[in-house]
Amino acid sequence: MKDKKSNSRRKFLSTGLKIGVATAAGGLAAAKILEEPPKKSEKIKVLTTDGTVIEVEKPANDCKINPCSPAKGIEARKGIPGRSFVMVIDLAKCKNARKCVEGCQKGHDLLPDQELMKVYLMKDNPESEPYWFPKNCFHCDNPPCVKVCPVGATFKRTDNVVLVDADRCIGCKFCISACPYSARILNWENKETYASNDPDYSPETQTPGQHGVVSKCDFCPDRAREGKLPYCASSCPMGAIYFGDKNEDTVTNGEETLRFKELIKERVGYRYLEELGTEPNVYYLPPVNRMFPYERGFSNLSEEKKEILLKSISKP
Amino acid sequence: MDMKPKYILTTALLFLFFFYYLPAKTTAAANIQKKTKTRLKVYYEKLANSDKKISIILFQGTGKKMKGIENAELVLTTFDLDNERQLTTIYTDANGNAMLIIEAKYLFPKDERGYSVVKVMYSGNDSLKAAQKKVKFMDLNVDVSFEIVDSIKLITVSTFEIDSIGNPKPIEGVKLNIGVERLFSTLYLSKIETNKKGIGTMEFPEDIAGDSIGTINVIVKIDDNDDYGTITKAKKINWGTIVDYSNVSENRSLFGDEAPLWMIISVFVVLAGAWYHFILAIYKVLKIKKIEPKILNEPL
Amino acid sequence: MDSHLKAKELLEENKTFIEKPNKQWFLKVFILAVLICIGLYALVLQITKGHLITGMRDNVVWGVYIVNFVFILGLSYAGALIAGIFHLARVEWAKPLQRILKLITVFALIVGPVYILLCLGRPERLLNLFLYPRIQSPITWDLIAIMTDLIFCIVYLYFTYIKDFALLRDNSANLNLYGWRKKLYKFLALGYQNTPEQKKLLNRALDIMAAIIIPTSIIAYSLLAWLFGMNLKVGWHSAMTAPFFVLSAVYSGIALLIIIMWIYRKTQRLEKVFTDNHFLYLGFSLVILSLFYGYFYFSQYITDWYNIQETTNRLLSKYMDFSQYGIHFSVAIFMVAFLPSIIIGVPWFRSINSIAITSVFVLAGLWVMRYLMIVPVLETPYLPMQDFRESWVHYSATWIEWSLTIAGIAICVLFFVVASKLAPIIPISEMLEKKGENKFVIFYKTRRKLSKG
Repeated sequence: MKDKKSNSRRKFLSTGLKIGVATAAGGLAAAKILEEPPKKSEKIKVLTTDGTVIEVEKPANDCKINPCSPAKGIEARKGIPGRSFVMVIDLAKCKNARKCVEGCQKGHDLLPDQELMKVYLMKDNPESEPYWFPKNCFHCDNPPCVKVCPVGATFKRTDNVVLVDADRCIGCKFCISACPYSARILNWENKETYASNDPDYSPETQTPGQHGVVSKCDFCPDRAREGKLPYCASSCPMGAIYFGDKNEDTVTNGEETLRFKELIKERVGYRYLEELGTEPNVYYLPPVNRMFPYERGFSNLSEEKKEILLKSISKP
Repeated sequence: MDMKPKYILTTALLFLFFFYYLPAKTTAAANIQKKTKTRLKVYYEKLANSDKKISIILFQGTGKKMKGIENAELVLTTFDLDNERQLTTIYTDANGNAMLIIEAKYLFPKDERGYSVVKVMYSGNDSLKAAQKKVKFMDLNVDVSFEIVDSIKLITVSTFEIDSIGNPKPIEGVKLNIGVERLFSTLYLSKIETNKKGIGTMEFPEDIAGDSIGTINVIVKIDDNDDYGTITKAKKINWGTIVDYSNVSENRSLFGDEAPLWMIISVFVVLAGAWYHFILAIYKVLKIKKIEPKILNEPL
Repeated sequence: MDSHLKAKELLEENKTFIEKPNKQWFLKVFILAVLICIGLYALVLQITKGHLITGMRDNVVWGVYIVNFVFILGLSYAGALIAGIFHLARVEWAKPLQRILKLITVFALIVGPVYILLCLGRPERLLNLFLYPRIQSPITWDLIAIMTDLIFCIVYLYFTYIKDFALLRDNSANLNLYGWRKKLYKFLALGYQNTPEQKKLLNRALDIMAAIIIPTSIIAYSLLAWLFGMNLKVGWHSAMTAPFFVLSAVYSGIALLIIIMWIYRKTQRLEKVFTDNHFLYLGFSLVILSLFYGYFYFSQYITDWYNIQETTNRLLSKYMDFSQYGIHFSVAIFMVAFLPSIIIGVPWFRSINSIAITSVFVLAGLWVMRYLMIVPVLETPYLPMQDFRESWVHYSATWIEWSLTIAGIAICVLFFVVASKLAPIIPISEMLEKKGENKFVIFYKTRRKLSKG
């Protein structure tokens, strides 16, 4: 209970701060009094020096990167200048709460079975304890999926992100089979909210989705433009997912902000299947000094599903 | 001092109001419909540009059931000694959040101990109970300066109040967080406390990444101080290491937009060789028609 | 003329073949049309309801469709390769087989790529392959190779028909044909009168086409193999992939050739054309190819076996596990690697029928081997399969995929039925050319120089 409260308070404060800073940056000078009754949520009241109250336009969103709106078309292929996004997942903190999966599904308008972020149960050798392993797209620096795309629908950006342009994808699925990390999915089912060539579509948001095209984790660059963490990182109750900019040498899970290089150095961070030479941009911190026993992760799974997981990690 | 009885009287009346009138009203209403309890949280914050901010959240329930109350009218008042003076009314947004920005030079009335008070009131409605909350704060000024002493980079922070005459008065023992601004959050480097002169210093590390010219935005933050609330101060300096972005797109041949030269050449050579011979063969066959004899040869 | 009389004789013998169709012919066409219509219905369902009604899912993204694609294109390239080599090497006994081989090539090349279209999530966006081409992608290589090969093979097929069209044009009076067909022959014969100049030109064109079709088909099929080889998948990313694919293709092509020969021999009484020797020669090449296949397979898998990587081990254990792919694997490998040696190799078992039936088994075995090369590999990613939905973990094709597979075969057969009605299934005029009559175009000058020297 106490945790929750301080958590909500922290979030409240941090959003407040951001709005405040943005307002200050956005310019109080541009303040103007509006005659018509404004929509309450879009205006901020300001008490001026002489004691009168004026209303100013609230900034559309908390813009951290210009332009703030998700890039579309050719722009979306370039990447945010000077950024080098990286993710660190602390396996010691994961207890298969699956909030990252749900947050991602909600944010990307996915079906309940579609998971861009998956949580695996892993066991490295017969003697070691199993551990939970959240896995999204690794946004490799040497991406095998991008190499094989025949139409350039999937591409690597300068900010490390690998995206899919659903408007161009022909659904050949070559990238799905080329990815050694099973990170890609196809939209097999049609959905009412799907729309082809929607003017609002951006590869950075992947919404609205489309039927018959490939979808994958996108590192949420649209949220980064607003200074927000990806859906998975911001919805993890344990703060297991850190996200940040390698160029800034900083990663954060929303609660604590750490220096990326120090973190990887001190906690012996590793990349999954390093030997494949794909050079992932997702790092893992080994599941040592765990916060929970791995059995805790079965609490939201049925007995049947638990059996399937345990069977899949047992060596014949 | 002759104001004192008036103050006591107001307090007593307020007391009466809350202990008798409101409960009576709610019990009367409870007969018809049980009202939900509401809560208010109010925070005071001093922004980087010295503007002040009052942030409010109005909600019902706690823990997982916590839910913001949308579009509720909140009345904000301040106290000039014992006079309650209305500042403004604001409305909550969809999540129950509301805020008021107060320009830096707006003078808040202070009580005898130097505190300013803002009271937030929600009057409730048919299904929700009323709520109110006070927040009190003192206005603290924070100054940030940079200097290099013996090639050591030092950040100096001074904290002081401005008294009624306008003279700065150093404040001792203020805990400060010093960090640098990052895309998603602030990377805190050190926690310091101000000394008797109201000054705290920090040695800035050498290996903090800046942008392409090494600029970093230093953030000094006082976090939720009992007296001064939350204060943020930001100042830019080019003390960061220079990050070279120019080589980001190197060596991305196979997955880049353009194919490597050897691939284009070999595809072209193979295709050209094949198509040359193909066209040669077609030419030979088309010649058959041309040299068709006018007099019939022996039938096949 | 001797050859003239012989040609008439041969044409007379195969008259019923190309004359006006009878009821039996229409019945054949009708049955095939029904099969094709069922496939079309399945196709409509797949387009309207989406790919979810197939067995393909996120792990096994390609199923029976890609198996058919690989298999059918393999037959096509094999046809081209064998025909080209037989032609250039002037193999006398193989002359009657030329037309069948070229028809296999073209029909398979038309039908095969349809299966990759069935795999596409958004087939209507096919144009993107030309709007935003990326040469780095094996699919683009394949696209270029298949298109080139299709054009080359169709034109080559037509070139080999020219002499026979001229023959049919000149003898149409003796045949019971529709009027439009006579006009068609006249048009397609290109005014070929068998003058020495014309003969020389046509023979040179045929030699050039045969020569370019050989490397084209090898390259094209290797590129198709790299569609798999370029994936970071255990079981696929091997340098062996392309040569192994080409070998399997030639193997399956020979098997199919024997089957088609057998069908024509049985149904059209072509014993004089497709002689016992043909079956024996091709049967023995089948034995040799089966041994080569076994050798390739063994060297591929013994290497994997000794290198006990975790994922490789998981994949190999699936082939050995009888509750998974063990039965498929052991039966298929017996059929493709051992059966020809036993049935054709041992004289006691050897007969025309046994050779043909072995070929059927070999062809089926090769299809299963292709399936085993693709589906279990896709079912063995590096990460464990922890999907709770059974259909997401194990692939099993639905009736949609099977009926479209059958429809594809039916289309190929229909093409054969129609093509053999249009012109003789044996290249009559080519067969009558004397041994050594046509020198290979490239050798002309060389021989002269050598004899001088």
